[in-house]
Amino acid sequence: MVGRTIVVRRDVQAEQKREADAERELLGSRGTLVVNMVSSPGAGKTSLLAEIAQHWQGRHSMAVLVGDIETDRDAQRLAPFVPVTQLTTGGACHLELPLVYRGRMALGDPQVDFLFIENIGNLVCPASHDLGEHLRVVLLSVTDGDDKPAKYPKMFRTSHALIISKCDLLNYVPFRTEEAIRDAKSIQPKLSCFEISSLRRFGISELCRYFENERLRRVGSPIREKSNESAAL
Amino acid sequence: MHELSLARRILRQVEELRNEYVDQHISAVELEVGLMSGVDPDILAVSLQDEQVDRDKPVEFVINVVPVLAHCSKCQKDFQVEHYAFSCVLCGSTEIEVTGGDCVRIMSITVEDLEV
Ligand SMILES: Nc1nc2c(ncn2[C@@H]2O[C@H](COP(=O)(O)OP(=O)(O)OP(=O)(O)O)[C@@H](O)[C@H]2O)c(=O)[nH]1
Ligand SMILES: [Mg+2]
Ligand SMILES: [Zn+2]
Repeated sequence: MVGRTIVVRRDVQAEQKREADAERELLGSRGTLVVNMVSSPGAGKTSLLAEIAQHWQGRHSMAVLVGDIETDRDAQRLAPFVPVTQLTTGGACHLELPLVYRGRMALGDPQVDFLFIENIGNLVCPASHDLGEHLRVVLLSVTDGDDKPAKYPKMFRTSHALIISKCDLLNYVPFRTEEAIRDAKSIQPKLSCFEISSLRRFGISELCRYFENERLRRVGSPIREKSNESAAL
Repeated sequence: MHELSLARRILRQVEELRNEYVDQHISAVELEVGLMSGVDPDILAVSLQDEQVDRDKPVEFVINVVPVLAHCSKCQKDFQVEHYAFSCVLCGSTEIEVTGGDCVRIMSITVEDLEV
């Protein structure tokens, strides 16, 4: 029996890519910039989100969906500062769009300037899952080691910004900031880089300005004043 | 990545293709796995096999791993990206566009007439 070969050329993830694009489009059209925050476990994502929420208090609205394998501890930490929902994967090492969507609904589908998604601490799998974000930002803490961009290239390749965290510890660990940035930029030349400390509170306002500018650029509408927002409801 | 769920997704898509070629049997499927897709081709191959154990005529999957390809917007060179170094190998420009090697695709299927 002779076979006949038929050319197909179909991206097997085309459907998920369309769904993520639709999510991006929808939230963008409402003036919400979606940020997917990734890092190795414990690089300081939750601590940074608490700082950002306090920095923007009374100026810009934000909400957080925080992913973990187990517990709602991060949501409890953030609850005093910002509307937050815990996404618990029960084992999965990354977030996927359907869970993020359910979390957004559980939070009452908030109309906010910024929606942050704290991904599971993992520099591998989250790189391959588009959550419909406008920006992907990767935290690299100085205690992680400056070799991580070169070792986990896809995560850095698919990110828009690199946030070097826990810079207050630079005197105690042999972390070469320039090497980390150089490696990361050879993988992704368009990366914007920031050096911060949530503990000592430096670099936060520069980073927040970056988010504000990216929101203007990508989502297009100016920051809504709090008063307009409630009037529009 | 998640080769098992990807394998299931691929088999579902093969099933959809089967509906387009009703009186034919899909004997083989050629897949392309990009080096930057995040997918391990060996684990994917095993997952595809495992998911088909109950089938009397399993589809044969041929997996080709393809390199990451890019195009330089400055000097127009097409080149292969090695070790995640994303700048032009000819002129050094970072204004490059990735043209392949970042996804998994069904490239072709082989169909045979069903015996009557
Ligand atoms: N020295 C120092 N420690 C920090 C800083 N930011 C966070 N930490 C500490 O680092 C640890 C982890 O911080 P988290 O904010 O929980 O990190 P995370 O990335 O959210 O962790 P997971 O969600 O578990 O992946 C905590 O003990 C924090 O107190 C910082 O800027 N400097
Ligand atoms: Mg956390
Ligand atoms: Zn060039």
